[in-house]
Amino acid sequence: MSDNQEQKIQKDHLLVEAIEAGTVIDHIPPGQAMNILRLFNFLGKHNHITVGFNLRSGELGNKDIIKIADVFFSPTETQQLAILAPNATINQIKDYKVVDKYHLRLPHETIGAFSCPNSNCITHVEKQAPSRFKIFKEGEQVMMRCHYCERVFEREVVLKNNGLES
Amino acid sequence: MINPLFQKDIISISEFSREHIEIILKTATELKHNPRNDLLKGKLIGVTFFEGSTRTRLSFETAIHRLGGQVIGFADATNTSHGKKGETLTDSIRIITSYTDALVMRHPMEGAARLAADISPVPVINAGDGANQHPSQTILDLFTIKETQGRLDEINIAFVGDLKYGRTVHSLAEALSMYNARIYLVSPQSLAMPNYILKHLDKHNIKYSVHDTIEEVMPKVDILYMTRVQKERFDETEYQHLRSKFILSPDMLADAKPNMKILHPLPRIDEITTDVDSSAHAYYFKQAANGVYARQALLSMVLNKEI
Repeated sequence: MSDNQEQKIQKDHLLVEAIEAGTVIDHIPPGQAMNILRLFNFLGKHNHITVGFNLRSGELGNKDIIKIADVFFSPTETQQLAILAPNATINQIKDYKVVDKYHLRLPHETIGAFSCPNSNCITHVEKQAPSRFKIFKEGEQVMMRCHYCERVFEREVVLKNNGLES
Repeated sequence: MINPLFQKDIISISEFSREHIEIILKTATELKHNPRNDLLKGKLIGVTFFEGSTRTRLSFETAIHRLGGQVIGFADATNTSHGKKGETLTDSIRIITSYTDALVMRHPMEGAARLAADISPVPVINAGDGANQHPSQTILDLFTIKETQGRLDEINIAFVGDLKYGRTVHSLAEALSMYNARIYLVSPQSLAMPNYILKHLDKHNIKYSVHDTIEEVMPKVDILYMTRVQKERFDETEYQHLRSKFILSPDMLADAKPNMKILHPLPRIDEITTDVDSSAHAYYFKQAANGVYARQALLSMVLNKEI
């Protein structure tokens, strides 16, 4: 790579410390990175984290990005993530290299991810009944139906009720 | 008869198709006219009411006894391990369903019946979970509508009173959306039908309209479905004002169609004056009696491969 090429890359890209192992969540809708940090309680942990807000992106106009060391998402956590950022890309890093890359898709169901906004739902008192939502779309609106109390909520209502901004 | 409900849970009316409802109503009709005392012979049913109820519990127990089955259970949770010692509902359900062939359950919290069904090895029948579902009530309502009108399709029905909190009207409206009903909604603005039900009606192209008084809709309807406006939801002045609009008295029946029947999930407090009871339009006590046949149908279908 010539010096000129290297300078151009440095101009166009956010330069952050490389991680030996961990996850890069890219193409997060602007504003959702903070919710992801809250949801997974990343700020309460000691992992190295780099967060970018409102970065330029060809696809979304703007995007957020999170790079976190030593964290790999389980299938359940990936479902949770997909509710907040349905079009995000997950890059798994091992030995400084991307070993897996995939696009998130809106899940059909989440289990234990978000509490039910209905205060009289059994999931609030029964520890052995983790909250569970069926996910579906009405037009462009993402809807969440509680498996137990059968109430249907707009995604934003569930997020707000869980202390997450939409 | 092919029985699609054998060993199935009965949790929510939204899980029933038209075909399911038709078979259940046919079974209820047969059991009403040709009583059977053998369909639950040798079966033990848990009837567990974590919240009190008079009609629902007694009609379930009556249905079980009349079909030759036996009952264990409780009428309220006060003296149970769940209510008194803090045992989880999950553990209570595991224990009770290890003794019984089926479980009938009422619980004050929404989703409790689904939770029970998820962990129970035997069929669970929801007898009411908070403000959510009460499918056997909906079945008995449909049974009574069909009995009085000869059909379920294209019924003109008015729902009157508390349409906001009344799960009975929510479930019945949802069920009637499969039958192209014309729905009239009569309630105080503060107790109007929730948006999610109206959305459901829209989705199924069901025509509905909102009205201020019972008199406006009286000449149009086949079924006048009354519910109780709960006094405690209003201050005394407001409640007295509403009384005149949402209390049914005999003089208001003058314009009713001859086939019109008045239904009410009961208990009735003062929203239907007692002098309506002798009217040919009054059907709410027969409706309550039909609860036994509707529940007999559900229980016998859940516990018999063939009927």
